[in-house]
Amino acid sequence: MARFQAIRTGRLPIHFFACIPGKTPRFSTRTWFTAPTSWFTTRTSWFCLFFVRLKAGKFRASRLLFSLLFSFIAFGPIRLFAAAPVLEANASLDAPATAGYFTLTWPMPEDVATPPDIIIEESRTADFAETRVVYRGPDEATTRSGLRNGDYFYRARFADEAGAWSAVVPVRVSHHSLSRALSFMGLGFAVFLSVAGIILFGWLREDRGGRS
Amino acid sequence: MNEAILSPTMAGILLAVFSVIWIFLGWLWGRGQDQLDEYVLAGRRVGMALATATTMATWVTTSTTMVAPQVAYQLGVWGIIGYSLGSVGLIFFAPMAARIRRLMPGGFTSGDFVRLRYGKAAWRIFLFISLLYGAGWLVSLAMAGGVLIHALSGLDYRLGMSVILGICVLYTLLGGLRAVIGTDFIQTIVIVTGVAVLGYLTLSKIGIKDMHATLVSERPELLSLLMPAAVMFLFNNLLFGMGEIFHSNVWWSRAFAFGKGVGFKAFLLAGVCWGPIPIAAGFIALSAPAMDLNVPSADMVGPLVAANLLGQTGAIVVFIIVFSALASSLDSLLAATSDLVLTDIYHKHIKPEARPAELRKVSLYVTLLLGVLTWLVSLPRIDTLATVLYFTGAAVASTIWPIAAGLYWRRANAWGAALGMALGTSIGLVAYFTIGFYVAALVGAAVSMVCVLVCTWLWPENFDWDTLREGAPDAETGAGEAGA
Repeated sequence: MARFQAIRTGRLPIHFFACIPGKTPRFSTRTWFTAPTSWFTTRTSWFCLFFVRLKAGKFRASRLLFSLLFSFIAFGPIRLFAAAPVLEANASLDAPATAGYFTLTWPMPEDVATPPDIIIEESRTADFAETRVVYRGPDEATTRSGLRNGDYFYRARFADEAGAWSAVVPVRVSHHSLSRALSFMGLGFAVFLSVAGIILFGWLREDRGGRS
Repeated sequence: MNEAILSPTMAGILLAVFSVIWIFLGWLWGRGQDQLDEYVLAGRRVGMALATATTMATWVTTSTTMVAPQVAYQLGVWGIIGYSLGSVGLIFFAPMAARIRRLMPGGFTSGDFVRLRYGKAAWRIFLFISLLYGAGWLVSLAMAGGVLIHALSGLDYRLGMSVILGICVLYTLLGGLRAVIGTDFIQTIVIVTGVAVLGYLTLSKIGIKDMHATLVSERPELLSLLMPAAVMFLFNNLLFGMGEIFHSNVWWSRAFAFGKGVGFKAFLLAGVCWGPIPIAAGFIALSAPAMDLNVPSADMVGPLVAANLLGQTGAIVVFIIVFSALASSLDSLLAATSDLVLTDIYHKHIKPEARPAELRKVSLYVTLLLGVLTWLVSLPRIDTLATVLYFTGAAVASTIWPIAAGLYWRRANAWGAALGMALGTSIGLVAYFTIGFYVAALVGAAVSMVCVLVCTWLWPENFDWDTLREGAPDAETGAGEAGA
């Protein structure tokens, strides 16, 4: 089973697609069945067009059919995606997380039967002198919360791609000031007390009126 | 790594079983309700047990089963306590419900009150706010259905959302408010039992010591009682809950539907019993770090923790609890919002000469239309549940003062109410975008309060409470005596 898995999702030699920088070809026969439209609408359809236009003086349906079939079998299972994942966060150094939580996302390659696991590392310094793995698995996002003020740095890589780290994503956590928070709390308390006063006073007055 | 705990087949079976139960009950309780009053307000004679259960079940919604764990995960201890303060709104609505029933024995919607009390300008602003809130809540509930099914079974979000919404629309169509209240009773029992079991199992399996140690080392701010955003959130959520309950036709329709003398006790009891539920539901979210559980989106944390902690059985329990909670709120909201659209927009704006039999028929189309619109908006997953829900916070909190002052003060006037709602909503939304979702309701309520107080002081009115008795049966007597 393990061997079959390796064949199904194994990598092709890198020179095969060396002309496409930053991309790694992966091979998955399952995409013949799981993504029958993907191969057609992307690169293989370009191949078809190229083949038909180059070889034919005039259009022939049989040639189009043949080239479609050929490209489906030959190129269908091949998927290209970035060797390093693209990591993003909904907070940054310029737009800090003011409530101590934020979400890191990394879109996984589509059409792959078994997407590789991802590793997300966190560090308190930009040089990643000390790191800790905050996530390892197949998900496409993680939400960090309850963090103290400071800068946090994140990077990601596919679990089977040693050495290919994503660009570092810095996130600043800068909570609102306590004085601001307590001012809002005080304002909220005042509004609540006044509403409670209207209702309780009105209720007691109505109750007395009813009894009399 | 998070894998789907429930197989798609099991999720499908659970969905099918509960769909059949709710739809059958909707049909059963909806038979023979040809009169509009019967269909929309369950004949205005709902008893104490059903009244308390429907109040609790409707208020146990995404806020307790999905959003309470979310804010616990984002804002920590204050997030949980802030959520439980949602019960304050129910408790304070208890005396208001009794007064509403007494002042408006023939009333149908909250819109009726604002129209009669403040006139058409304030009424239209109120309708806008009420429908905006209804839409926000409906969308967040439908989204919660999709998120739940996706988190537990891996089934596509759109599929889960569509199925849950479809079921609720169907049984609300069949049974009206009587079916909604009846199913709420059963759903309350399921929810309370399930949440209590989950809280106990989480405590016994993880333990306070491990949870605390992990939070201290990895998520220290979640335990901090001085976490600024959480401190801001505390009264914001209380006021948001108050605004939701004070203005929404979901609660007003219950105040009209409950039998004489039932409203006060039912709302008070439901408020007291509701308080611990978000504490139990939110608490389990704090065990996520100790379990080393990845949380891709904060609104998935509740179902994820329960399912990973308790395995297949836990996932089934969570599925049933959240499905019940969602259904109990979604049906109530559908029924109440369609009443508002039917009475305040169709009847009062489009066709004033429409007879009750025609209105009864149109109410079906309105419910269906609301269901379809909700489905369309929920189809792309817009944002997290809390963000969608709290977007309406500024608007609903700006209605607190106009409603409370309008019910108890003769001198409160239309200018104060209209300005309070318009400015409160606008400035609250500015706070939402510039500071965060956790202050929008607070700012909206504060601005509205200033408007109502200043206008009441400058241009006091002498309102005649009997104006509110539109459509009242002759036998009902006596407006209240309260008044400033």
